[in-house]
This record gives sequence, C-alpha cells and structure tokens, in this order.
Amino acid sequence: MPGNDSAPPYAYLLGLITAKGTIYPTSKKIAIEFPHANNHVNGIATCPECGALATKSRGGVGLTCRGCGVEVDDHLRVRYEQRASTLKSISEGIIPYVTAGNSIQSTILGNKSVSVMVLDFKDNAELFAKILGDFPVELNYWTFRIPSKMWRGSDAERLAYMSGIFDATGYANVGNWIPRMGKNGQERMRVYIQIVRNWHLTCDIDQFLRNSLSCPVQTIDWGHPNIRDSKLEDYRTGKASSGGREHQIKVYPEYLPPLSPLLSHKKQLLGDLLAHNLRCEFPQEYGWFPPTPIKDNQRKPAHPGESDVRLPVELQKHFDASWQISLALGTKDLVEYASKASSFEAFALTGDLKCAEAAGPLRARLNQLSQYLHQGLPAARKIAEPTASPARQRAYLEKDTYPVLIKLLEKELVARKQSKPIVLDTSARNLNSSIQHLSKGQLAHIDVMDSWSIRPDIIAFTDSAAEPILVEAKIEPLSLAHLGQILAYCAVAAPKRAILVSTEPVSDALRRTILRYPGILDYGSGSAVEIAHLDGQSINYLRF
Amino acid sequence: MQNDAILDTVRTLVKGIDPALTIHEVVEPTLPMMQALGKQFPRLGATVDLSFTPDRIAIVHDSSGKTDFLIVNVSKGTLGLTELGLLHVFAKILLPKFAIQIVPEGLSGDLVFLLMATEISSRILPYGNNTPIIIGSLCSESDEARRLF
Repeated sequence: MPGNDSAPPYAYLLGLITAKGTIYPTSKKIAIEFPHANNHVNGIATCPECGALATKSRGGVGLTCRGCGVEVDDHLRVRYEQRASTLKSISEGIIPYVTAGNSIQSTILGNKSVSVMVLDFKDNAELFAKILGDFPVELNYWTFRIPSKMWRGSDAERLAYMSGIFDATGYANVGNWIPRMGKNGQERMRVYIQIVRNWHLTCDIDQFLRNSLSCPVQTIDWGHPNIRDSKLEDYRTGKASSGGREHQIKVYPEYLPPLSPLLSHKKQLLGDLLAHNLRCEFPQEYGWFPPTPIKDNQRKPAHPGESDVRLPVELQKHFDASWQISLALGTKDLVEYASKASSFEAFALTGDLKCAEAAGPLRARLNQLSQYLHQGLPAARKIAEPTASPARQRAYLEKDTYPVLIKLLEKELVARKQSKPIVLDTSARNLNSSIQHLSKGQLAHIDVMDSWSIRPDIIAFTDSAAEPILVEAKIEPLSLAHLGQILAYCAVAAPKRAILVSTEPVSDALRRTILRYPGILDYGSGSAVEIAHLDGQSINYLRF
Repeated sequence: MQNDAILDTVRTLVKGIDPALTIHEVVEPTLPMMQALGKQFPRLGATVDLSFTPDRIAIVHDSSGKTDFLIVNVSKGTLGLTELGLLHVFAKILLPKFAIQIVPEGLSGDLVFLLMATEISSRILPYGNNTPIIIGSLCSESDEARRLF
C-alpha cells in the first residue's frame, strides 16, 4: 500500500509519477497522463501457412508474410481498443491498487486521445508529503529523476516501479522490430520506454534497467539532431524542429524482468511480443553497453541543430553515436568504463579505450570529417510552399504584418529606453538563430509556451526581463473571440504586455463594449490587453 | 436526446454548486428571445450587440425568490484553451450567476494540466466577483454529469 514505503503499490505509483506525473503542491493533487492517440493498437499477426510474422505491405493495405511471402488476412491481427482499455484499467486496476487503504480521492479527465488520472491527497497530507519528499526538487515529469529510494529498493519494489513507468510511457508496438534471424523465425520485436524531453531521466532509466533489473538496453534513440535526423532530411526539407523532443529506450522483451503492467492492452501486447521472440529463439545480444569503437563510416554529417540553445549545454555539440550522448550526460557506469581509457577525451570521441591520440588534433580531424560529410549531402530540396489560388496569392495575409510589426515594436522599445529588445516571429521555421541571445529565464518562457501549444504571432523580450511581450495580429476587424484568445494566452504566459492588433480599425461595437466593460481587458496584476490598429507603417494604440 | 442530456447536466451541476438554487427553465435562445430576456436582465441584452448567443440560458431562483440567469455553452469538440478564453470574456461582460461549459468530448490534455495549476486556473476561470467558470462532463445513459473544474 502507498502508505508503506516498502510496498510495491507505492513504488508503482512513484513509477507512474516519474514517467508522466505532475505534482501540484498547492492543491495537493497529482495528475498522471496516459496517452492513447489512436483508438486502437494492432497486435501481432502470423502467417497461417508458415507461422512467420506478417507485416503491413509497403504502400499496401494488407499484410504480407515475411517468411513465405503470401498475403495474410488483416483480420488475423488482434486489435486492442486502447482508449477503452486505458479507461477501464485505470478505474478498475490502477486506482484501486494505488489508493488501497488510503484516503485518496480520484477522478479521470481527458478526451479521446489522452486520459489523465487525478489523485487528490487533501485528506492524506502525510502521504502527499512523503511523495513530495521523493521528488524533492522538481514537480513535473519533464525534469523528474528516479527517486533515490528506488535504486536501493527490494526486487519487488524495483519491479513495481518499472511496471509503473511502463504503464505510463512504455510501448509494445508490433512495428518496432528490427531485422534479426533466429533459429525459428525472424524480425526481433522490441519494446520501448518513451521519455518526453527529460534527458537525465532517460539516462537514469537506462542505468536502472541495466544495473538494477539486469536488463540490457538495446539502444537509446535520442531526440538529438545528430541521432534523430542524422542525414539532415528533416532539416533540409524545412521541418521546424528536426531534433525530436522524445527519447526512446529500446529493449528486447525477453530481457525485461517480469513486469506487471496494469493497463490490460499493454500487458497483452507485451506478452505477444515476448512470445514471438521466444518462439524465434534469437541469439543473445548484450545491448549498447559497453560501446564499440565508432568506425569512420559511422560518422555523421554536421547538423546546424547541434548548437540549438534549447538543448542542454553539454549536448550543444556534435555526436556520432548514441552512447556519446549518454557519456556527455554522465551515465555512471559509462563514465566509470571511460575512466579506464588511455585518454578519457579520446575515448569520448572514438569509443576506443586504447586510443591515445591527442584530443585536440583528433577533435579537429573529426570536426573536419563531419563538415565534409555535411558538404557531401545532396542539395536541399526546395521547400514546397502551400499552393494558393491566384486571388489568395495577391491577398494581404496575416503573416505579411509580422515584419512591419517587428520593426515597429523594436523601434518603440528602443524609444522607451529598453535596450537590446529581442523580437521574434514565432512562425519562423527555425527559431534557433533568433533565440541564441535570450537569457535562461526568457528561454524558459518560450519553452513553456511551446509546450502548451501557445503560439502568439510575435514574442518580444526587453533587457533581461524574463516576462515576454505577446503580440497577436489580425487582418480582420477585432472581435471578442480574438480578445478571448489573447486573454487565454495571458493566463498561461503572464506576459509583461499583451498587444492585440489589427490592420482593420476597431469597430464601434467593440469600442463601445470595452468602454462599457473596461475590466474585460484585464489579465491580472493590474495589466490589461492593449488594443491597437496597424495603419500602414504606424501602430496606434487605442486609449480607453 | 442531446437537449435532455444538457438539461439533466445543468440540473446536476447546479445542484452540486448551490443546492438552494432552483432551475425555472433552460432555453435554447434565439435572437428575439435574447432581446426579450435583455429586458429582464439588461446585461443579457449586450449579447445582441456582440453577436454572441450562449447555447443555453437557464433561469434560476435562489432561496429568497430572487431570479437570475446562467449561461451554458456546449463544446462541439475537445475543449481547448482558446474556447475557454472566449467564455471567460463573455462571462465578464454578462456576469451570469454561473457560467457553465459542458464538454461532451472532454478537455484537451494541455488544458487539463493548465487548469490543475492554480496560478493559471485562477487567471482564466474567475469572472466578476471571483465566481469560477464551471466545466462539467455531459451526462449519458451510463454516467452522471460531473463537475470537472
């Protein structure tokens, strides 16, 4: 039971919180997110003729046997209803398990793509304090680490803890196989733990699996540009952020300890993948640790995203292998392994314990190689702009106001003696070059808004003030709906100023409404949304 | 069916918020109806000017017999932050006894986490004299309506 430190249900709850939890100290609540983007998830399908794995044909609609090549009826594949299974498992499995014997209120919120379990500890302050003690610094899964007591927990606790992590953010998808030959079949299935944003937790879980649960990790697919977009395909085709925000820790299910997931579809899928791998009898693999030396043909081209200031400082550089990121982040057993090398720095660049080459020239040579590989990439494809009708091509669009507004705002801020204002067009494909000079606090604001999908058209910062100035631009008469939108943004971002501007004059109806109900512009702490008219090359603020 | 469900939902939510309140009627307002209601509740008259019609208006009586009104909106899809911002603006103008947002399809995942944070919900939910917007699920054959926030 959660009230008892040594009990597996408490460890399971800590696992859920670590992976997908947010703690709200003021209200004594904890919310845990269970995503289910698709209504159903497909199970494994095998060929009725030869028993081999059947997978979706490339570009086709049906399944093809990977053994004998015959078409396989799609209906042979089990379909698990993710959403229904998640809701039922939370209410009938997870909530009773983690609340047993404790006064904890619970509710389930969400929609068709995510369910959120909310636990309310208002009647159990002692237990809430205990949980806070296990996450002493951070309050959100973006930055949580594995609680120290879990590293020293009993076998049952460590298993329960990992089961919680697996339920919240583990995936046993059939599509995650890699080509391998076994005695009785092929295509080796993998399961993965997907960690959102949190680089250090990814290292923690990798070590926890390997060292505390004796489960080798096959690989870590880091959301770093060099790993996620190693051939710069996303970058060259203009995708906004080629570095993903998630990291995937991949393991073979047969090496996992006997987890006890409570989400029934995950439990069944895990069982299906495990049965397939056991039946195929694949040879033993030992995972990515210890790393093998990087060969020249494994080197990767330089990626402009390597210097993205949104990456942790220690990762704002070039990497050729996934394990180098683990080393840079300080994965304990890897650092210990590297300490045996003739040269730590040379090992970090090559993966070769015996490499004694001087780090400076070696780094310069490898840097040259990555630049050379970058130059050898095919020319960037022209980014296809959305086709617009001739009428629309002639039309003045909202985005056409951004350059004018940026210039005007910069001028205004300088005139107000706010030196070095930074004004950003948030619709820009690559924000990195614009945000290089932001302070840590300012970057955190950008990050928060990005996380909650809040996209005002323009964001500005002045001096070292962390609070942004938000600008929402329109090319139609302003309405209360527009005001509602920017007030909602203000509720989240708590900006220094918020400006709602249109190329159209403010209508009499809106002017009358604001005059009659001036409080509708307020967004807290004495701040009010500023209403403005962009008249050609000048901006006129309306006084109410 | 939807009408009955909305009515039951409003009844359940109101009972949970203020058991002393009795619902006189819940109407799906038309423009002439809003004009007529505007005579009784002058602030409701403002909606005519603002091209805003709530999905439902509920006329309620409190224990002293005083008449008041509630505005009720029903989300067409998952409730997101911007839609909530719109109700926030209208609630500030109309100052209903309660502003209720019914969410048959639930709330967006982001909005759940934003509203759980009291420093954010305290900026978007209250209107008027610190009255919070009520967000509730729609009742169905299997589930009773619930106040979510």
